[in-house]
Amino acid sequence: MLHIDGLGVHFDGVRALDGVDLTLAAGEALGLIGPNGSGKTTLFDTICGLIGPDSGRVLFDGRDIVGEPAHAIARRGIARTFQGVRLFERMTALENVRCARPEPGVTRSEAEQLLERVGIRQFADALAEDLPLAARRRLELARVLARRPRLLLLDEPAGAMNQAETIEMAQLLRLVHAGGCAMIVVEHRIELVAEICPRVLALDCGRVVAEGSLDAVLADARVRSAYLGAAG
Amino acid sequence: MDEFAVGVLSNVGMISFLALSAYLLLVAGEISFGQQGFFAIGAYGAGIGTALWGWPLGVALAWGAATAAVAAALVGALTLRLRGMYFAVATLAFAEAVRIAFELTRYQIEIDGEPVGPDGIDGFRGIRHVLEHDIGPVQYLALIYALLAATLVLFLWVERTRIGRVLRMIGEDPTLAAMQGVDIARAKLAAATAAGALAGLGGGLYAHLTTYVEPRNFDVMLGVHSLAYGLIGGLGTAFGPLLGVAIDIGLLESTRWFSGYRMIVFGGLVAVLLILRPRGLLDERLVHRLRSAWPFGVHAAH
Repeated sequence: MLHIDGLGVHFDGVRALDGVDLTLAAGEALGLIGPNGSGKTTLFDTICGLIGPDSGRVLFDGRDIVGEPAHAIARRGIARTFQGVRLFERMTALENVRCARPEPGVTRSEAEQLLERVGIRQFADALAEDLPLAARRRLELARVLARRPRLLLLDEPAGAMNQAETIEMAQLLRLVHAGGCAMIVVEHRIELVAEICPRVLALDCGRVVAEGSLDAVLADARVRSAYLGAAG
Repeated sequence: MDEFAVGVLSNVGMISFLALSAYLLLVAGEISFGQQGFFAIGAYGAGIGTALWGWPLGVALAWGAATAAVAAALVGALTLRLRGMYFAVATLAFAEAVRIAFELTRYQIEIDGEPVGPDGIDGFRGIRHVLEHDIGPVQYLALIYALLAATLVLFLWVERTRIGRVLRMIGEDPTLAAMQGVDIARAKLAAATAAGALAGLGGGLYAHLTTYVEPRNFDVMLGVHSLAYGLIGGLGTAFGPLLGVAIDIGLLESTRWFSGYRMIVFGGLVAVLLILRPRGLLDERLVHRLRSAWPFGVHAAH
């Protein structure tokens, strides 16, 4: 479904991504880990068309989508969340879900069902900017689900959540994945990655340094070094 | 109704089109200092339609709106890729170019022994269709408000549809909107074109009310005011810019209370509101509260 080949991105001489290769099968869940600044969000931005790479290809369903505008890539069935939750703050929760798919549009009842599914039906008519953080994360998830994506890019879906909220989010994501949606999950909460992703890829300084099961990746000396520095 | 009140209400109605034009772009996240340029194009276009070509008023008003819409689409195609202040400056430059172009434009035809039509800096006299067809001030006022009411109904309907949501999405977070599959460039161009048409319609009505227009009617202060109406009245609903117009023209300009101090009060009001209520009096939060309190359960269209 997704095949990334030799992807390179640099900003002002700094290589944010350096020859990244990645393959994701339809319906697969992949964990993406790495220290801050390792290139995880840049990789998402590049897949989504927000950043143009200097080199490499991003094949989605066999078609190179590099150079396509972001809205066209979104229409291909790729949806994402953001590290800092991004909502249409001046709209209600219901409106946020309804605007997820401008064409042909999300009906009111469909939006209500999605809010119910992520457990925030009670906030339907509240402005997004008034919601507590956990509800905001759930609303963001409801919005991307309303897009009926085939590939979901989740950037720290449990960021700033407490333990109980993280467990609930993991359960939700497992259900989404069980529905057949492929996903790449960027997350520092290892327990969430372990819950959802049988395969994990580790990035450091824009390069893939390890790939495999979570245990194998965490045991990799390069990953330990990346997280803990020379002391690791 | 006394003549003064009819005059004030006519002004409020006409300028409301310009305010709605600027508001539409504000909702879509763009600040235009140039909507007066399209107002001018509509005024000259509709004026030429009736005075020189002998068209009926309705056709001429539609022509004025259409020429302004085409101009807005062309300007939008060139400028909407500019970001923030660069777009604002480009629209201001366009409007000034339009004003200067009309200062240089002479297109006159002799009618009943006197030249009629744009005469450069001396303006365009003899747009007498309304007088010649015995349309009284109250009738013309009714026409203005009928068109304004139709426009407002259209706005309120659109705001509850997919198109309205798309405009608010791109106005609030264009990147996030693109992530939902919205073609930002196309949506903004459509908004700019519709905004141009609205300003052009207002300009056509203005030309036929005053019977005389000149390029300096369409200077930058008109653009600043049209922008400020939405910022004062609020960006949460199309009633916002109308409230802004009513406050400025209906209260500050037309009463004696603020005689000589209008611009000071108006400028102060804009400054205070930008600090205290950056989205205006009828902002999204207040509109949301009012909708929630509405007893008849108004919901967005399916």
